[in-house]
Amino acid sequence: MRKLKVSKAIDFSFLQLALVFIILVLLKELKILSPLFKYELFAYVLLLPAIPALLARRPSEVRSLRGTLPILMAAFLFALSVRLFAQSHSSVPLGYDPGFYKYTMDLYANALPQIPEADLASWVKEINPQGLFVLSDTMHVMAGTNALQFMNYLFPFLGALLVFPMFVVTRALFGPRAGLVAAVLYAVSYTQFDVFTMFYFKNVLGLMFLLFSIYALEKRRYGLMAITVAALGIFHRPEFLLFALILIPYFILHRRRGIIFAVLGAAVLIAPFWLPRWDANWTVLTGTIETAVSSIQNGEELGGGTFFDFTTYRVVALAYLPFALIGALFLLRNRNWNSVFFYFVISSIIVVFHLFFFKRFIIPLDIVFVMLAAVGIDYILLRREQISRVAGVVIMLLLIVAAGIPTLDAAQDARPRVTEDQLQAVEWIAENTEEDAYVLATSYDAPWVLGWSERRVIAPGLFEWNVHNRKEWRSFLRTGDLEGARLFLDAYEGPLYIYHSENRENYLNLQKFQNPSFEEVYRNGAVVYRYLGGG
Amino acid sequence: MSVLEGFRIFFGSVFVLFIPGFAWSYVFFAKKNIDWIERAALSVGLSIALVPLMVFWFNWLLDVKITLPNTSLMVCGLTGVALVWIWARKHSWTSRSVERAKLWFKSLRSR
Repeated sequence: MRKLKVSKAIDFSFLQLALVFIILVLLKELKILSPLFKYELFAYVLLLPAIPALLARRPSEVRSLRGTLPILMAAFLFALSVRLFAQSHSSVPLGYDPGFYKYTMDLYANALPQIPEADLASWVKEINPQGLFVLSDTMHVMAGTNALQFMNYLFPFLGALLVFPMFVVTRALFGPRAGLVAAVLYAVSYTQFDVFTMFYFKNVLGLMFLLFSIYALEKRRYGLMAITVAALGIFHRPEFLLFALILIPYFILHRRRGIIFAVLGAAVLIAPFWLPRWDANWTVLTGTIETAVSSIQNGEELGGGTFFDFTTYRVVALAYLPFALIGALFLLRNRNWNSVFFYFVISSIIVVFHLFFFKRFIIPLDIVFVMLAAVGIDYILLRREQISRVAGVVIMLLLIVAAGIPTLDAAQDARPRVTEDQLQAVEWIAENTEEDAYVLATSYDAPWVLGWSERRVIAPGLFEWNVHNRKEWRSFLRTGDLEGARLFLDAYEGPLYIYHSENRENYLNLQKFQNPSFEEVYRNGAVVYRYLGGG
Repeated sequence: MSVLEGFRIFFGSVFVLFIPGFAWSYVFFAKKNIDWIERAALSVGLSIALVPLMVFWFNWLLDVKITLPNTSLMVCGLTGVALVWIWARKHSWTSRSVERAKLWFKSLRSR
């Protein structure tokens, strides 16, 4: 009896602490409280009073929920609106990657009615699996969309549409209430919104197929699983790798024969995509393994990819982080060794121990955190009665608002990396220079020049036309000396232009171009020089 | 963008990104097994997975060019296969065939 009373008192303290925590986070997001306070510590402290509640079994199951559809539609519309709003600030796409996508989509579209597999440069094969580009070809042929329309319409739509797979998968594994909370948390997640502003198109498709693969695996629909795993392989290889890693412990534990058939089916479906590119895929795979080994042996943080790190993640996901950990503890306590549990463990190991691509793996890690947070919220806040249930609902609503505020701020502040004037300068190159010309650009400008100039682009460490190493590039970018620049540029035969946009993070010493060997041919937000040769 | 272009984009997108997956969702889940939210989500996911797989396979294996008529036929064929499958299952043609095959194997063994 006394034990029960103590347990109830601790549980009540948990509710109070959770309320205080979420109000603090809310005040921080509203910039009323200092962001310097270590709120994460509070998040971890919150786990302790949650333990008695985790140990007590609470009856769950609501089989169906009223109001599911309006809430789901609201989440979808919110996710779509913030994405479209962020995109509406400028006609220039957000992020760093659109130029790479546009270039590759144009390559595929120009090669129609065939697929230009044999003519692709090795860097294209290494970073771009065929799936997205065959889809863009199909849409080009059937719906008449060009690369920009395909990207501008489909990308925000698919990003918002992920609300539904989130709901479907979480509901299938943890019940309808957890499913609904997961869908809403996905819609307000800053991390997932950042995926949009960084223009990680393949990532979004990868997440979709990762979720469907988990769904098919748990529902034991192995035919469906073969298709979704194959789709993972042709759209986004990091998520394919993650799912393969999830499957290993899952298969050892559950030993279902159907999994083998699904894997074999997926292998057959992927074969024509991967076999012609075995050398590029092998390079990527060995590079990944080498990075992981080097990270373990030397503690070096190599090959993290471009995304924010785990320290930043803990700040932006602060509102639901403690509940995600509670959700993970809930799975542990119930010995629920499902695929989501292995997904949580494996993606956490990759990110926390910096194994490979550890910054980019924060994106799928956030998805599993959102799912587990939904489980935690459902279990610890919503499965209550009377007054404490009301408190639980209030905490959940505050949590959703607190998680959504940074997303709304980011949507307000989202700006492309180059201005409309700077993109017009690139388009000027397409219209006014020789078709066989080279355009030299910094790595900051390179994707835009590649995507929009329709010319061969020379940039540090990028593309097949570059013949210089890192040291030579560093020296060229910094020097103001004409002779050094000439020596560098004379390595390229044919008309040569230099493009440089005026952005703070974009560095190129322009002093070397102030002499008769160069002619300034365009200036408005960006400058374009024509190299007249050494003479 | 003209109205006609808008129509083409809308209906072309539905044709490529929804219809084949919608038909295939019935192959994996009968009508009563899942609700329409699940079916709608699966329809989009399956379409995006199946269409590039099929277009690439036909181009690689049979050198089928990616043109409007060919791709339309491929998407219709993909949807058609699913419909035939569903029809066959509904008329328990497949299960009867499986039963027959099992009996045949048994008879082979007993010999």
